[in-house]
Amino acid sequence: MSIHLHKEMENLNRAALEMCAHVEQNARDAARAFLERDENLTRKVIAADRHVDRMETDLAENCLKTLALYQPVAGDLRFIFSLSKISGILERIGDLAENLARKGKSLSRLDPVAVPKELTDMAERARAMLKDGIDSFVDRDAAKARGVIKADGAVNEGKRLVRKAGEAGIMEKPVLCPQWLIVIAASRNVERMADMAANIAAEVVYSVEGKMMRHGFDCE
Amino acid sequence: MGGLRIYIVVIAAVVLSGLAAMLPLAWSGADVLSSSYNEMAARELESNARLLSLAMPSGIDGKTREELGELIRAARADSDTRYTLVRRDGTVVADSDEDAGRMENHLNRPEIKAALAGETVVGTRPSPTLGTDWMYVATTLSDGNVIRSAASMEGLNNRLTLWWSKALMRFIGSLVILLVMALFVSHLISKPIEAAAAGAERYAEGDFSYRLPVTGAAEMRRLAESMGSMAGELDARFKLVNRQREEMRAVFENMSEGVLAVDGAGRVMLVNGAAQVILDLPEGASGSPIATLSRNADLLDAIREAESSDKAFEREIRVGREDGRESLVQTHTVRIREDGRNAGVLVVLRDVTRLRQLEIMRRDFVANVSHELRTPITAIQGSLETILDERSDGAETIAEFVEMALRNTKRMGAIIDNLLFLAGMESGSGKEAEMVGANPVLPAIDEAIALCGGDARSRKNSINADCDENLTALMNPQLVVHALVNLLDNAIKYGPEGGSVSVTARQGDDRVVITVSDQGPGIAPRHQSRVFERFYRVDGVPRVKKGSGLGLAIVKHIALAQGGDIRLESEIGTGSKFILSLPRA
Repeated sequence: MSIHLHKEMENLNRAALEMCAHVEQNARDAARAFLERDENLTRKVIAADRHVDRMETDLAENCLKTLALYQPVAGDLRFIFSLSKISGILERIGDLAENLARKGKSLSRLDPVAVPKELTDMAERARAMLKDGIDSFVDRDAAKARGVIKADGAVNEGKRLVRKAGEAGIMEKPVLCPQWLIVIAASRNVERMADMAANIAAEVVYSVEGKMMRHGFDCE
Repeated sequence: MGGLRIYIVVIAAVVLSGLAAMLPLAWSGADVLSSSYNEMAARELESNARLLSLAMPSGIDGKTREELGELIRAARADSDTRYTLVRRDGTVVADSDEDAGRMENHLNRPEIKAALAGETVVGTRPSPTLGTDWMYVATTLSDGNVIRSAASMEGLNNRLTLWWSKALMRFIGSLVILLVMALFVSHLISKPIEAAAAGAERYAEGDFSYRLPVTGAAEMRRLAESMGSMAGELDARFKLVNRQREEMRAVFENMSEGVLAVDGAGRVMLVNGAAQVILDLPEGASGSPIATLSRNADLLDAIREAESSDKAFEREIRVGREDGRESLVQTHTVRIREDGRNAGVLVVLRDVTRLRQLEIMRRDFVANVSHELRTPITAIQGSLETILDERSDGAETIAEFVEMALRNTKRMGAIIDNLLFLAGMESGSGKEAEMVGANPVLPAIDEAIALCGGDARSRKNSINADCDENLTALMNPQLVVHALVNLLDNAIKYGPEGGSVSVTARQGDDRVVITVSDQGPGIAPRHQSRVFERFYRVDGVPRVKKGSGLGLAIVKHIALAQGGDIRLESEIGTGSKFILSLPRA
């Protein structure tokens, strides 16, 4: 591998890791901002998402530049290819985080309601998935990535439980309907974030092993 | 290793010098031997020729070939000398060894030519008839014809061969002695050098206690001595450097500020224990890219920022931990320049979580206390101004405003009393702690419930107590009643109308735990640690009833004064539990 390509790959990797750090932090902050109705944190999440968007465009551009200038092959090519896709996924997670934080803001304007434990659990699971997904990317650990893909089912189940809890809550106290609608929407938001984490993991498997894992197919 | 071993060099030198000394000697000996042999052989040949010429006083003319042949063959008989008779014209008349008739004309032979000219010349050359080297000497007979005597040089050759073989044998003999000496000398030289090399290797490995033996030649002694002193010097310097490094490391490791240095490519060059703790980094972080170790976006941003400028930056970053806690860390970042090149970034970290908490607490306290004191004063001022303006009005209105002023004065008095109470507890006069003793818990709970009964009834609340009669705790009952009243007051105030409040007391392992639970709106986690601060208000919660803002602060101080503690468990929407624990009796 040429020394220039090597250096360029290191730079790309570093930028990607920084973006991961921002997105992970943002997702965590967003969940907290929602669960604790912390408006300061919400504002921070919204501001930070702009930063993430800028990082995504920079990273995508640098990926293209590297492809065009150095024409990497095999593992390097797969890595850069995955990187440009992962950056897109990370940006999506950032948007979802912003949405979630904003939902917290709307929720805090209404009478307080207990956030169901199912949502807290689900948010925690999604956070762990995102962390593991990013870890698997950082460590190029395909086994861990497969674990993340498997964990997605539990989060989907969580979404269903939140909806059930919401339905029961509305039946019991129809006055709280707006709050419950927000909670259910938030659960969908969290579930999407978990999906994105699984997508990152699929890209990691591709990047490391060269196997396509998307849409739930394991091309083994 | 390269280069020749010393013993090879010494042996080569000794053998070559031996050869150089002996070869010319042997050479000149052989020379002398062959020249003296030649001289003696020539003289003998000449005298033999002369002797034979005496046997032919009249010359050879007139004698037959047979006669002459017989004569010289008789002379040849048992000597080594061969005789040839040659006429003046060069024809061979007789020869002692050959058939004269078949021999060619000898006029051109140097010794014959010389004899005919009256001289005597010794010629040495291979004999054309016999093949080997021969020496020839010729002399004239009385009749002018020539007699030639000749002898084979084989004797000389044999003698020379003998000479050389003996010289070679002796040379080999002395070579053996020379080799032994050469080995001895080379051993003498190389052994101390080998020892010195081994010593130097031990020094290189760091064993400075080793000393070379001071023996052998003066030069070697000097080498051993100077290497010894060099080792001593090196040892002292190494120890000094090591000690300084250890000191630096100890300072670096034990300083409370975290230090982290990353190189130009974002890899960790240096990290101390404090930085590892503050940033929650794994062990052995050196060498890995910082972005793989810590996914703290703020930290990575701070490093990026410092990389692009020569300025020093100061930031406050949040560091989340596995357990969900978050700490505030102040970072100072500055670019490291090396030979005018960007060599990385130095980050100094300080955990300021506690500091910021205290700052916020103090700021809020000042703001809140002024607010709490200002409110009643405003009300009193307003009432008094109204009374002043409305003097002519009925006494009824005046009484109303006087009452309002009085109520607010009482409220202010209550706040100040509470503040004084807290100040008293804090100044640690210890009066309250002195009155701690083993007391039953149930009466204190009952008393607190009775004191809050009025408020509870007005909000249609029920208060349930659950406590074992025999449960006792180490406590000052008055203070505990005070604390419970404050807790119950809050529970009633913030709980829903018609709700229920429960007080339970249980015996723990070494504590008595009294729990006051309500059905209020709950307290968000970020407020939970702060509700025990003076005048702290949870925002967004309507001020249903004006409290002094000191209730929970007082509860906390009461708990601490008696060696107990207070905890809060709360969830938004489900209610709060205040858990007061006291030492068991």
